[in-house]
Amino acid sequence: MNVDIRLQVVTMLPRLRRFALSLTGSRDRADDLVQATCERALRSAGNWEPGTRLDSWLYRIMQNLWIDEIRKAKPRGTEVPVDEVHDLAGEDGERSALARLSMQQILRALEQLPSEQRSVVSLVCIEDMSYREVADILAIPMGTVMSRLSRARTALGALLQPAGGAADGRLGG
Amino acid sequence: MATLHPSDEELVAYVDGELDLAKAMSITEALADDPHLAARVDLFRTTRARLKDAFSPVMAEPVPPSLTRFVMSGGGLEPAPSITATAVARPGRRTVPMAAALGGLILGASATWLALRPMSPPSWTPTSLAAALETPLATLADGSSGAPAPAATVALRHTVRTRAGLCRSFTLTTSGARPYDGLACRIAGAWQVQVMAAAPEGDTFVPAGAIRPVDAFLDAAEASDPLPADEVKRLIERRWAGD
Repeated sequence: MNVDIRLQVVTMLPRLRRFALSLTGSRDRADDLVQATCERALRSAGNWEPGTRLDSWLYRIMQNLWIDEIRKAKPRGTEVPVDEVHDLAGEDGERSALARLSMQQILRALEQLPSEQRSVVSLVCIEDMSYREVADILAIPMGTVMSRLSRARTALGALLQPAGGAADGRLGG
Repeated sequence: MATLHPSDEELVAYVDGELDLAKAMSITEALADDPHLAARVDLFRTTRARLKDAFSPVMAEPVPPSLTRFVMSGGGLEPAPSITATAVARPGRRTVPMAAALGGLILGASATWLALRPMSPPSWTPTSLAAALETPLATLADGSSGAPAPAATVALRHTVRTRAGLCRSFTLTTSGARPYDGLACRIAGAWQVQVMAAAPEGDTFVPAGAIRPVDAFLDAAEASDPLPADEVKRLIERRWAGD
């Protein structure tokens, strides 16, 4: 096996963990998903064409594994979404607390979205992928990317507004 | 004006910079006269910013060592490769948690273009970057600089042996853009850029313990200490043959 691809996957791990957390809403499940993604990627390393985007390929694998898991098991709900956001060195307690609060709110809001909207909004807004890249990763038309994205962000806007404005229940999409 | 009543899809694409210039300009004009549209744009902009901010701490967290080991062992398919016989252990070198601070870290030729997209002029592409760096990487000694392209300077930093082969770290400075730290490795007889990441600037907040992407790569690749100048000189004279 090419050592080089392992090194590249290693340096992708922070981004894979971030995407996995946005999908699963749980750190433990996120790291399980990352490991499963890496295992699948390394087993099929020959399918990755050097010169093409490794990150897109890994995101696609992760997304497919996550969809498989959703289909296999009834969603378990959030398992203590994020009980801990590691403090960044140099931050004071107040800032860390705000970061923790923000992460919990966002994860709760993301969990309210249909999984297909969550993937799109995460890839675009958190992973900074272009619409074309997202369409390729998810194997959906550009128009679908745009419609899911606008519905997801409209829903998130309602869910994240100050107390009293949050919507309950699953959002259509 | 082409778009008097843009849809939410168009407004989201406007915020994300995905519209063509003409359509984006028409929406910009419409925003000035339509508070409802402006509010929608603000909503879409805010949701993106909040998502991005909320997840940014994840990038600064140490990756579980078990995960890194799992990948380096080939996902359990084979044992982790040992350091090559020529690699030199670095006595006393701290173990850096795999890491962190990789925001903006881009790997591989195609992704390098993404990392460099904000740089201009000149506007680097994977092809132009590889071509521009080929000669400096092959011929310059550590500590010396060259001009790979007009208005661009590359300064060679160190040469090390790694699991991936011989690697050279450098700083690429392009006129009008912030410097980029990079790492290229000699793979299959050619220099391949492995890491390009914006170099920290003087006024940039760098959290204590943050790991620079080039260092993170070198740690994962179990890099040796920097090779002495005379060894680098011999490698250059041999045109990196037998590396």
